[in-house]
Amino acid sequence: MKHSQTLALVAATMAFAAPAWADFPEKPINLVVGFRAGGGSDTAARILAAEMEATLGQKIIVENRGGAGGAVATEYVRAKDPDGYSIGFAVATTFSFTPLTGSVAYTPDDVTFIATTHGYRTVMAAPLEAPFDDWAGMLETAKERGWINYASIIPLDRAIMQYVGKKEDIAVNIVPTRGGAGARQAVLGGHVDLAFSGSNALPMMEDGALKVVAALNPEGIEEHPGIPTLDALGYGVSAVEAAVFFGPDDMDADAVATLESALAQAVQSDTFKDFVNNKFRGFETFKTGTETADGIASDVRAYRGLLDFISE
Amino acid sequence: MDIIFAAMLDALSLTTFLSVVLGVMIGIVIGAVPGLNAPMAIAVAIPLTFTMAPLAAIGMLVGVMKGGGFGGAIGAILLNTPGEPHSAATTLDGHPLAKGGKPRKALQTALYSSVAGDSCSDLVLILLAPTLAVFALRAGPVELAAILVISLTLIASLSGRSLTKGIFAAALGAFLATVGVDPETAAPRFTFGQVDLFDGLPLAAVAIGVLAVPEIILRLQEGRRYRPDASRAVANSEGDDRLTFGEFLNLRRTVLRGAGIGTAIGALPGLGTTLAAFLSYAATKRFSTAPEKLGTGATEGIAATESANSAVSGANLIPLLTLGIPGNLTAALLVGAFLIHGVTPGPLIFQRDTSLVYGLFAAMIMANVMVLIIGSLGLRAFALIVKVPPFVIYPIVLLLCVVGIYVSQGGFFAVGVMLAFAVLGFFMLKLEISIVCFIIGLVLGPMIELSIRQSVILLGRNPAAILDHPFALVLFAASPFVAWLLIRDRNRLSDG
Repeated sequence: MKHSQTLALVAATMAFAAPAWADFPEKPINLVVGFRAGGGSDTAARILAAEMEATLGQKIIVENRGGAGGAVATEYVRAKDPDGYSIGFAVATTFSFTPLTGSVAYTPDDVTFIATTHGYRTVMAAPLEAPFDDWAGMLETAKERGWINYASIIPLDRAIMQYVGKKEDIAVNIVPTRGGAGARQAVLGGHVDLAFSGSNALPMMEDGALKVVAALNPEGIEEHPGIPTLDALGYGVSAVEAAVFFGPDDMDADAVATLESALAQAVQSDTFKDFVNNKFRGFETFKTGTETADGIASDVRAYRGLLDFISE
Repeated sequence: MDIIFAAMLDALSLTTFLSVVLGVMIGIVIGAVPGLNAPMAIAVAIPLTFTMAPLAAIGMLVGVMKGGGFGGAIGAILLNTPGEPHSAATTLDGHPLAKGGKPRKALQTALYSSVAGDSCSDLVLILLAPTLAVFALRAGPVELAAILVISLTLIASLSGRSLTKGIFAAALGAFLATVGVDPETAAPRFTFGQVDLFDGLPLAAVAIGVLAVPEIILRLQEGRRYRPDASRAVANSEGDDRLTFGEFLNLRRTVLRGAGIGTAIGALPGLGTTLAAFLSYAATKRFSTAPEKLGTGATEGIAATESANSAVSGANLIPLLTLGIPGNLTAALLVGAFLIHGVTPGPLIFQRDTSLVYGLFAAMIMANVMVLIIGSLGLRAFALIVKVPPFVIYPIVLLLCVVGIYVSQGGFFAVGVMLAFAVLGFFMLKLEISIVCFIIGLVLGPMIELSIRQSVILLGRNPAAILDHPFALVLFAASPFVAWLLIRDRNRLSDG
């Protein structure tokens, strides 16, 4: 009896003392995905979560809070305890561009970046029956006719196209579409001359269903070197998009380090690599939390310049 | 041809069969629970399929989709608690019939019409997908705007006794649908700084709040005073509570019309199930020999809506498979699943992924048969729900609504939205303002807004280009005529 009481006491003391030296994580981690379940971003997050579970030895509970391009999840996560048990998954522009539009209350300084796990590729697509085959041809068509119809998906691609229009002195009719599906429908049906698209335009191009005239991500499209980036076309602008893991502001440093290295390991898995390269058709890239924060800070400067130029 | 049959035979493996069966069961159960719906069931099922073989995985998701389509009708018919906006159309006749002592008959009508509509649209998909896809693509913003305007005109005949109240309800719905980020300028509208509102009011939360919760409250008010009435006693004597084969055959026109409308709407991306269900209902009311019976528990009404909304799901795969364009949320979730399992939708899908695509078709047919079998087996059990006293079942239903909305629509915010709209729905019910019109405004408002704004931008610099859209011009020109016809026949059509 006495003995067991002592044991209980010891156990209790150990339990209280534990946080001081126990390894993070000691309970399940909540991962809030900023996109609805079932999409490409959500799938990547779930694959990474499964890999991290194996490394960390703790359950990772994936919860979807889609909306406003990751902003809903950001607002949700940043109100949580910065103990490492509530983390979020969004994209770079959730932090680098959305705050510049003045519609959200957070800035990139209000969260802690954990890592960037993979990159997104975005392109400008044109209908198969378009009277041009490349970017220069598109500009020529626009100048001859006086305007060009462009299907936009997000505020960033809209701003970039406004920038191009102002630089080239062409009138860009920006047709808003709801999500990638609407823009794709517009371009495949030939209802617009040009449309913004994610990497899902690449297989369509390879099938001969549409033309791709430019890449918006600075890395370009590796397997199709013929597609120029906007940078190479001399505009000096690009859409930097990548998957970003983040947590509330002032997150526990040990927790950040542990999660960062777990992610660094997770992106090396075959399942994930196969998904990113062959299914999602993005590109492999890994950035630590600090590198992510620096990258986003420099993106913010670039986008601010872009917006200033448009509103001049 | 050989490869097609080989692929279809492939699909008949035991694993695929079992996954389809499992999918159908998950779909029916989740679809039947108030507050949960088919897209949510698919979102939940996708991670489960990660480790499965592609065909088994896709078969399971197709099963969930089809099972969910029928499951949605169960809650709508038996409890008047639709899980999705399109099921609201099924409550119009389904619930009165069930309440009138014929729950099994109502469910049978829904099941057979649903499976028939589904099968018709699957056949069209299998036989005509590539051709139809090319045709559907030609419908741009201008055509969609025209289709929506004439549809809204047709649906206006559902406004109930007071046209003014109907228009008010639809306008209120359309106004509330403007909440969220402006599609053109990305400026937040009526969001009051709430990030949660940027993508608009959570639709399922609003729909369940306004449609289901007031019904629950009314039933609870009846409370313990409730006694089974005489008509219910009749129902207990089986025989009458059954849909005979002959009766179903009499519904063939309605079912075929519904399937046609559903297939056409499904093939055009961006229109959706709610439009199909209400359009079919309006058309049935227009052509029915006894239009005054619709809305009071006519099997015709159930057949019209269920055949149409099920037909959408098969036809939705036409733009999805051949163009990679998902027509609604369910289809968008399927694209994600296809990607995970290495199927890239596109014009060459029939050549490149032949075995998988035809395997998918086989799985779809299999799923239709399974919905019919599992649905029939379950009917007796489902129908028993009506015999549970309201003060027992409705608190459970309310709890399920709250939990379902919390899980599927993003936390307590959505639950708050649901409860706020429950208050609105309760007053609308008391003031006899058409909730159906409200839902139609809410769902169609943003579609009309977007397509008209797109059309204006596209034609702004070159108005003469409208002449390139003869189809749209005909529809626009026909709309006033249709409106005149409906007003002329108003007395005949109104149920009052």
